[in-house]
Amino acid sequence: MKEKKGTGESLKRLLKDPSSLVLVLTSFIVLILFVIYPLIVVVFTSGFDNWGMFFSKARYGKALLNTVVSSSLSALTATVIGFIYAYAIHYSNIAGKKFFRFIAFIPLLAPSVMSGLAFLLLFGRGGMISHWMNSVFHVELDLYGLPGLWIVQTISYFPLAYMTITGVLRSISPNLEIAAQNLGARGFRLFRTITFRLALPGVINAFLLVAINCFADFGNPKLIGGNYSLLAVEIYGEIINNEPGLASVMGIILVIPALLVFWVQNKVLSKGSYSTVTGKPVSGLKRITTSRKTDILLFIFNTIISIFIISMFAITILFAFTKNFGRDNTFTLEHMMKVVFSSSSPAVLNSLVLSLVSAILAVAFALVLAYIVVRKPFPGKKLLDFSAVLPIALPGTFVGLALIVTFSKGPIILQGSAALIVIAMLLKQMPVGYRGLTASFKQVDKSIEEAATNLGANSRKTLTTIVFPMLQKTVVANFVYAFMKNMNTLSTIIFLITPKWVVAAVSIFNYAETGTYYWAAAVAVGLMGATLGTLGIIKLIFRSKVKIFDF
Amino acid sequence: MESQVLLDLKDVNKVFGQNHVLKNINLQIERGKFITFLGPSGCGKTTLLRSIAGFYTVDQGEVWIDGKVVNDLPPYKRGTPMVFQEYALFPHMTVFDNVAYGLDIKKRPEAEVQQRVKTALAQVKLTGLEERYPHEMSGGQQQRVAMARALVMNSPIILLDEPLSNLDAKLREEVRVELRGIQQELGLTVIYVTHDQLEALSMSDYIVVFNKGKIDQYGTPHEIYYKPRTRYVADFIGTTNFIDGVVERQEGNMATVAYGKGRKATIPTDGLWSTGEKVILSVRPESLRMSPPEAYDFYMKGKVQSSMFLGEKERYFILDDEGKEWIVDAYDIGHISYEGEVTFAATADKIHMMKAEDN
Repeated sequence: MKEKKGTGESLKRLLKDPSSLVLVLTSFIVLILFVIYPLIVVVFTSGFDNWGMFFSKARYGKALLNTVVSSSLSALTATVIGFIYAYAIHYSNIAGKKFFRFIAFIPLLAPSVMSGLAFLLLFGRGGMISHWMNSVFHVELDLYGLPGLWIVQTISYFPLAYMTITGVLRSISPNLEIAAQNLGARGFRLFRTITFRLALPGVINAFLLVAINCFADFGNPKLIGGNYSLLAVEIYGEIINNEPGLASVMGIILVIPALLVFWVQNKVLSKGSYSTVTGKPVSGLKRITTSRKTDILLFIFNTIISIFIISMFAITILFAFTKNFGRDNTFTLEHMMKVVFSSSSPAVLNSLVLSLVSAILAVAFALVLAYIVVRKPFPGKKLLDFSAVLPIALPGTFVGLALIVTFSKGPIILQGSAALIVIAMLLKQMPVGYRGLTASFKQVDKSIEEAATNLGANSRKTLTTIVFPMLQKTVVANFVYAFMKNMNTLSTIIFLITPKWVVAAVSIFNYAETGTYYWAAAVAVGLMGATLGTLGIIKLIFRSKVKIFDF
Repeated sequence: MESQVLLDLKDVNKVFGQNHVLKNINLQIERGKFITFLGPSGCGKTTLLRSIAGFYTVDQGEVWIDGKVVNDLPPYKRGTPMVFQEYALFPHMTVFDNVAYGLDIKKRPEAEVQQRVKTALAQVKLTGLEERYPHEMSGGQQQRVAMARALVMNSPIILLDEPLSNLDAKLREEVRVELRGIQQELGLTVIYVTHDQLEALSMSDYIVVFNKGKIDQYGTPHEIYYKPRTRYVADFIGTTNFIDGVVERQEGNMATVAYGKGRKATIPTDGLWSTGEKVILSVRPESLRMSPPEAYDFYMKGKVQSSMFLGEKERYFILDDEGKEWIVDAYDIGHISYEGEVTFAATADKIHMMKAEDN
């Protein structure tokens, strides 16, 4: 018998199933209120006058151009470095691969603004290396503006490029390179005609991802940009000046490239992916594609990148645990006590609480959404799916902006509440979980559920004993991911924090801006400690079921 | 004059960790022959093929191709195009570019590449599909592209690693015929790895049967089937009945063997046997006849335990009066069906004699 379809039919079936009805209605309300409605408000707030103003003033045009230039440059270098780094790990015979994988993971533990902070500590005015250059070579190092921003964004986003490219390199079947060698190809020729061509969709994807992240990045541009004006920083200025209209115009401009990239990823790159057609690799054959000389070069390259990353973390830790590193190197816990473990500076604790709450809610909401979208018939499913995925394409800066513009006046006022921060984090992370869980729900084959039903389980029993256990891995993975992202987010919540609900990433940024580097460093160390500790606990609970710290 | 031997393996050994995968392999392969490496998984056949292609370096011994030692040549210099089990077509290239790849690497002139690719595609009947991508083709077509990619190299030798295992049964049979056709038409030397005895029997000039890293037998399909040198070979190829026996005496090429409880048979043999030597007799199920005249040399009585209808034949499982189980095939039997007490027998020339210890 064929299932009856159509809006009327699905509505009828939904009305007969009150628990599903509640889930569907709640999901619609939440997404319309916090995704669709703020978007509309931002568009209306922007207004014709403000668009006119934006395009008439050279200052904004300059900021737009600067943002395009700096994010393209950073994306280019981050992608190149990410590619070489990933290639070295997956294709060469170098030693220390585990170590290099670990190094690429550590930046994920800290907010990207920590890279900015570390950069200032090393290369800023009075920074360690600037100081040394000055005293030895009498060179005045001034990297504020584009050069500094370029370096910092490259370093803080190279792990993103590395991970994206790793994904595609892993999916390339060694068979293809082996077959090419069998036909006479080798060396750079083999790399150019096979490996690189197959990795290209992933490389482009990595470039686009890094570019849109840099495009809307707030913390580092503000910290290091100096006089080099950038869009996200301008938005911040307009919000401070109470000019939501102009801020909205620039917010919309931030969104456009992000939406384009989102569209490109979905329509173009997914078709250009070759990983699925090649099948399983030949057992027992390993690709040998790099020569001894190449291996040495790759090893040196990865080592240099690693030293860079390690020194950034090392300088932060040194600043956190000494009186005033460089001037007074006495070990002290004073800074940690003052800004991490004191009730008057609850930033790290706030981060922990808000991130956990938001991550739990995000995953729970994603689970509900995925469940009803995959399993329940109801009218308006496409709209619900669209508004659930949409925030993935919206830069954090824009999400924060939209929420503050929408909920600081009008019928619902949430400004200044922790709820708004939790919602902002949730909106950014929920779509990732929703996508993953939808895929997992679809993978739980109908026939497995039917087998359970056939053995006498009712639908609730099937859900609790079969479906949820099968989804556990995805749920935990998404929770971990959401939690880490929440802990480190700055641009999403910068407009939403209040004196009471300052979070660690903002605190690092504030202290760094005012030059109290040791406090910034101490908060950064505290934040990383809190993240690591929580991940450790999760690992202890779920053990091999969750992949954390597996390099 | 060109030597007839194209591939010469001398005392080839390969060890992976604790695992001695190839043990003193000696093999000479003539030009223009279709050779099959046959054996179950893990017997060393694939390892040997990959050693020929240069993906593995042998730990001991020499691999000679066309009169040259190639031990130290990397895969890209061996000139041994291979068709992979998974085809390994380049997904980002059209059929034309896939087939042209090896020639492009060799920097052949454009016109020559065009001509040779065209010819190769015609040989595998893919003319007109040059601009397709692998993912737009069926499994059978992909397999042909992989074949064309190897053929186009005009190499004297082509290696095939279980190339038909991903095709369905019907297609497999078709491609078998075509492959053999191409090989004979072009006079190619083909080394073909498979675990499928039917494939081996139907396509090969010679079969090499592998057993735990050693070659158990090298011979024509007929020799392998009717005159297996070891119990392992007889068992691996087709179905057979084994009978343990002892040689009583040999007169010329006739040997008298005692078996069972006081039974005797005089069997034709090429070998030289000593009195008292333990032997194994092998009789194929199709060589045994149900309800024969009593004049047969090898005459048994038994009771049908069960039977199985296999289309062209009926297979009987019979327990003889000494308690040994036999498999007997009856062909073209119409509606006749045997039950209960039966007699069955073979003529002496259908019984094959092998050494017992050669296991």
